[in-house]
Amino acid sequence: MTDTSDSASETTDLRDRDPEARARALQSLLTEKGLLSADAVDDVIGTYEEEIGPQIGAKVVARAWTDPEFEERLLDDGIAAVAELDVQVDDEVMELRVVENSPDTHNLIVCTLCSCYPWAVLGLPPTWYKTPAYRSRAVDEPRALLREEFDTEIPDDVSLEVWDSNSEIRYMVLPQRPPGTEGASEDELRELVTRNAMIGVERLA
Amino acid sequence: MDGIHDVGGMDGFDDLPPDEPDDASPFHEEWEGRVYALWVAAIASGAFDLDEFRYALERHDPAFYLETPYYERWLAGVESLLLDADVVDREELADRAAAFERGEAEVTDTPGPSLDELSEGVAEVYQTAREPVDPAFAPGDEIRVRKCHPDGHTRCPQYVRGVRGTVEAHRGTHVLPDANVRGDERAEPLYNVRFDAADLWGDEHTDADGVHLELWESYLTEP
Repeated sequence: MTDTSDSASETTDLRDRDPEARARALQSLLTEKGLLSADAVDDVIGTYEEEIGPQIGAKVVARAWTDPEFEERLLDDGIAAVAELDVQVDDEVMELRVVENSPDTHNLIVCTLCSCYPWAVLGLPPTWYKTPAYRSRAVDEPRALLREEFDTEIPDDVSLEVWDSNSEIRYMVLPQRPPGTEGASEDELRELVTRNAMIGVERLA
Repeated sequence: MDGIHDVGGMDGFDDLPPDEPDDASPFHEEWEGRVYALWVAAIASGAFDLDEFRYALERHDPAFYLETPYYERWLAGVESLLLDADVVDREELADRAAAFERGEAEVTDTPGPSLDELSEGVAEVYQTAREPVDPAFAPGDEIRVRKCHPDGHTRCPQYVRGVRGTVEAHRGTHVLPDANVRGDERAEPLYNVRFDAADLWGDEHTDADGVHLELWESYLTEP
């Protein structure tokens, strides 16, 4: 048997070690080389634990529901429209395409080849999104997947369109505004928007 | 390569793990966040790019790929690429990991790039758009994906190969991952292509209507 990567076999003994120790070891070596500081490690972790997450996407969706001109810009150039809002996103971080649910179309996001995800607006993906179980099934039997795993029923007369994010273009779903929310403020609407609705595994009641 | 990573349409994986609240940390263990920061620093340093990183993960042994937690696979990928790039030395890394296991080492407090500087480096890696090249196809065109099984890195999943679809949009000109991973930066028109789910899977074996992907021009041919 041949190995396509020399280093894959070289690291075999490292793999027997505790990942915690290996991560610290690599961090200490990169730190000594001036590539990474302890502060930057804390900042990266803090950013994805506190600052960048589905709350950014929720803000975007609530604005789109209340401002048709913003919605138009969002559907035209996702990240540029997001960067207009008071959020920690710069308009060059990624190309973002927002796909809009309607009474007759439901959209679903997946990355079958790895775990591509619109992290600038939703944060880092939840565990289930990265599993072969989700990635394999989302493209061929998404209705059964949504029903069995998320209690989400997509009616037969609603078309289901799946977006497999295989390039550096990232996708986010713009869910439909729930009925009965006509009088709600943008802040109140934001509270209704979930991460799963922006991936498309959930419909907002 | 037709690796274990290319799972679109496969059957038989387990149920999904439980969902996590929207405000949960994406890291289940403290070291997972550390691995993510290592990846950010390594990508920002230019030691490797996204295509090389994905290819490293694709080449993991299939059993290892399926059994190993996500951030541990990332750690193995970052380690192997930093070894390949001679940023770190194998023996030094193994010795240091052993020392941390014994509790006999610590991370020094040395200055390095700020988060903003690292983020700029990461953003640069995500910018794959290049000078426009005239597209051969236009929205509305029928195409067929080439039936091709390259043994290297590709972003053309197996399930669309040989299948007929419709160009929905021209997405500009982007670096071709298949060549870029070999250090050959070439840019090609990129298209969003929609496939009827029935053409991909057969009418009886799908409950989707359409599947959309981005496909580079060299993946495509006349219908």
